Amino acid sequence: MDQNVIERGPETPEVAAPMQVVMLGIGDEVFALDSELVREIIDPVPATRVAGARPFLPSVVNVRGNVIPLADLRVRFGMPKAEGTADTRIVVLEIAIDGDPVLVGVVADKVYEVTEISPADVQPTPRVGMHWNPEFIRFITKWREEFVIVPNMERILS
Amino acid sequence: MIERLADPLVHLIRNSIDHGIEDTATRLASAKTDIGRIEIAAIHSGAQVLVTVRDNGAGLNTARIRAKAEEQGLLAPGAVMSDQDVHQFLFHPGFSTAQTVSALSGRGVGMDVVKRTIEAMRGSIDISTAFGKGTTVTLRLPLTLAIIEGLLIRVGEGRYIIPLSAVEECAELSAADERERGRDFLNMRGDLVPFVRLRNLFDSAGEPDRHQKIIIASAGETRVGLIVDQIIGSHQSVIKSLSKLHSDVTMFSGATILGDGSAALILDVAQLIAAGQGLADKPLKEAA
Repeated sequence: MDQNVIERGPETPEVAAPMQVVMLGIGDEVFALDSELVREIIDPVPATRVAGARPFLPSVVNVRGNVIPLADLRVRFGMPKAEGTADTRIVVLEIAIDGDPVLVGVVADKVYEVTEISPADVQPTPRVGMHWNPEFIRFITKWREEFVIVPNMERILS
Repeated sequence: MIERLADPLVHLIRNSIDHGIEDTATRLASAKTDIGRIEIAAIHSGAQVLVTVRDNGAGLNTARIRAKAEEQGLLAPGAVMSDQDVHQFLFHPGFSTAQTVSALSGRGVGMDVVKRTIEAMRGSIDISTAFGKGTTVTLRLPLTLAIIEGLLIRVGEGRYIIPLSAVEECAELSAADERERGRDFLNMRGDLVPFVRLRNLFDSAGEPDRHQKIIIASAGETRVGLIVDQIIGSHQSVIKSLSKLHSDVTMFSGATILGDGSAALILDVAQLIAAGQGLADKPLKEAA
């Protein structure tokens, strides 16, 4: 489904029905994550560093007996590193990598709410004025009068 | 697991029928019932399952196995060897004591394959026999394929598991070995053993412990010393595979969960040796 959106081009995003999303903040950006992907949101747990792994997947954590990778999207997005705060959470996602479901934790600086975004608010991704890799973006939408990014997690993490 | 067990079991049962159970006349002559009996049992024992195939046939003919081994040049004539060790020749590729090839056996292919299959499942195989009374073959299989005995170690702030099957011995790195003289070799009772500082390989933060420990690990023919900060102890580890997203990570074969709930990585010794060789080949940049 996500692949198709990209193939049709980022300018013509298609969201037919209202989409339920989880709003989370990383750095000074706000992201709207398709709630279908989100398995759970947990408090930070001790992470185990994995030597030799890619920098944006620096560690693993134990989530209910599963050892899952923990992704630091700040590294992926070229944001400065930051210490955890009282608002830091791990958002556990289930994404498809090569057709197989894969669990991965994403460090979020803050999780705001679960909400719905309406198709009417969907904006085409501008070609200029973005310091983002357009591959990482499914589309842009509006939330509390702010533009937020709906990321393509499969692309970001693979 | 069950599918992988099917072929070895069929083979063991065939062996019992063909090599074990005697013909009616012989059985009656040795005061046995005219019908042979093969029992297959599976018993729970600790973290293992014991699968036994027991027949009340003729038992292993140790003398004949020995003669065959000598004939094939596997054993020097007259060499002293326990019956138990002689029976191990049955697992040698191409070894068969059957005089003729029958529909069931005698081709000398089989027990070595059975042994390999069982060992691939991290199990082991034992034979016990009483001449004239029968033979029992016991397969010991780990209850879950996902449990290994491991050695829990600490490198910097990270804790890791080394599979105990790869560990040969542990020692303290002596002050003489500690001195870095541009060569990472160690004299283990006259053998030259290269060593790898896991701190360097893992890029660990902080200062190394004063008394570094060395774990001699082997993979195949190669031995290597792994230098660690601390040996914590043995740990029965439930293997969790690493995520697909970490498929580019080669130094670790999996992870496990420690008593405090944190995850620890399991070292892949064969890969570490390769990585260590790569590290040794690079010019010493930090040692200078």
